[in-house]
Amino acid sequence: MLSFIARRLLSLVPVLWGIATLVFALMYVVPGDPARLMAGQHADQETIEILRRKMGLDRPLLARYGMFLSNLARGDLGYSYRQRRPVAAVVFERFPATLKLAVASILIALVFGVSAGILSSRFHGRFLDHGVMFLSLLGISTPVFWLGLMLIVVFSVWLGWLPVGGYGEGWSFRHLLLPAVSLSAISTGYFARITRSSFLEVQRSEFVLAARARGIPEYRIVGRHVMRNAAIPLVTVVGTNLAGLLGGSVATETVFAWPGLGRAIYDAILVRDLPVVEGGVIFLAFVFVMANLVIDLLYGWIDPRVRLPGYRGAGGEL
Amino acid sequence: MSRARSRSYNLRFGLALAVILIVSALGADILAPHGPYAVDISSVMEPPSRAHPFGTDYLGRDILSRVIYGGRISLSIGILAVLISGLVGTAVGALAGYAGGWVDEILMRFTDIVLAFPTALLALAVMAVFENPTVTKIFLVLGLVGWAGIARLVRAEVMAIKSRDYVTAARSIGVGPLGIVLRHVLPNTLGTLCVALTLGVAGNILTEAWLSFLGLGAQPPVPSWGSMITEGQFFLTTRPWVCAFPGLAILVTVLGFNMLGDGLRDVLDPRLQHRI
Repeated sequence: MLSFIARRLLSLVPVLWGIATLVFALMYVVPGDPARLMAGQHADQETIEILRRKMGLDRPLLARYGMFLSNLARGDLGYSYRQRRPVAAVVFERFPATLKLAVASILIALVFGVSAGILSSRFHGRFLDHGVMFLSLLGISTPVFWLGLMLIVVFSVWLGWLPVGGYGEGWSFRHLLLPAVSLSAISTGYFARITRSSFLEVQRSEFVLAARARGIPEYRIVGRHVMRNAAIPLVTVVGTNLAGLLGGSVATETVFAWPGLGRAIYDAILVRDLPVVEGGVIFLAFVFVMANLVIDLLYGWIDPRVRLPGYRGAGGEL
Repeated sequence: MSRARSRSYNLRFGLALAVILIVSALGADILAPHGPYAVDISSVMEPPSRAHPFGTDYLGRDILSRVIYGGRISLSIGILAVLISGLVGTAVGALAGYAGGWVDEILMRFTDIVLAFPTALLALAVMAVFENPTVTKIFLVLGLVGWAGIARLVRAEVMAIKSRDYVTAARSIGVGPLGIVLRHVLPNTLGTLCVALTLGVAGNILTEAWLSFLGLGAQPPVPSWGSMITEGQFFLTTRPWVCAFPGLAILVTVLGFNMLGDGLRDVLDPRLQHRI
């Protein structure tokens, strides 16, 4: 298990390095002088020159790249032109709200997706199965930001049950509900489909047949033997879906005026505050990669076969 | 029996939707009742009516017409991007799968790294850099971030096919590696590829709409579904139709391609019947 963890941790290095290098390359091709942007429109040439030296912009490309990487390794994500503070400060202020929204969405998706999937597999081939599968396909095809807007129209404007947006005081469930539900649409669809297909597959396997032959009651077969094996592909899909959730949060937080990192990235796009956009994206990518590491480890714990070197994983590929 | 029925149901419905959407996008000049940029100040923000079935927006432009013209943008971005991903992914996957050894090792390591990226966020990071995002930039970016999954699929197919007898036979009569891959191996991966590409169109259209909504896609006044929703959201509480119809168009289009992809998978690749 230890060498498995070590191998996984090592495999992160090229991924994170790749993301960082790409973002550095992007920032380098940006037209315009970062020092001028930072100094503002009315700054004189001398100020810009000082700032350029202070930001290390006068140094050769390779040196700047090295500086960028070493800053990143120490958690320095750059400096916001507009907010006049480190991007890391923006991230730490805003990320908790995003995390809350993402966790709520995953929980909603798991509860509804998994139960719909189980229901579908139990009624395999019947009307209910087709209905659930159509609904899940509908969920996968939904532009989540638009779903958010439509939910606002129905539940906030017409019915007046829930607030139009905002964060509310403390742990406001009423404010969390609509954004979390709309953000969960795609994941709910995926979870329902993967749960259904893996339940169908496991139910047909020989060990379930054997358990049945031994006269073990159905609820124990499902609860103990089917559930655990069917959970394996589900765990992977939770990981891959995180990318959609984190990306989706940029639009969903905008729609609901949710004060998370996604909204901060959107606001930064509007005023072309690139360090916040790129730093925010690096951070979200980092969260995604780390979450998938945790999921990989969890996976190795559920299914011991995965720990073998050279195992490339079955399923999970969407 | 019921499996077969749901199979053809997905395929038929998806195909019908895709054909309708492509025809309406191509024939927008004939089908759309008004021009996509035809401003009419005398009928601003009108609710759906006989003259304007989807209502009008804040400049009095006919939303139905803009939705029809918007299909051109969404579909062309979705399809062109997937073609780029398909080309790059097939090249990488075929090379890795056929060559094997260290070539395979290096290419697949790289592919795994790219697969670990959250691609939509990556596309956002790239698009944010451009001062004026255009349709061309979007499909290039979406195409170039989306190839890794296809490379993996093609590699697996190529590895399975290359040891078949007819490939050995072709090799024994002196067909070169390029000839074998192009004439004997790749044609047999087309089924899998078709499924992946169709589902890719759906994914790209969704991502494009999301980028356009964030202001990183086609810029106004170009009628892109995503940016139409952005414009409409300011009047959401009083005039919800301005947002509702472009979003519905995205939903139906993406649903159509997802159904088509699912249906194709059931027909072309029976082994994968129960995958998702």
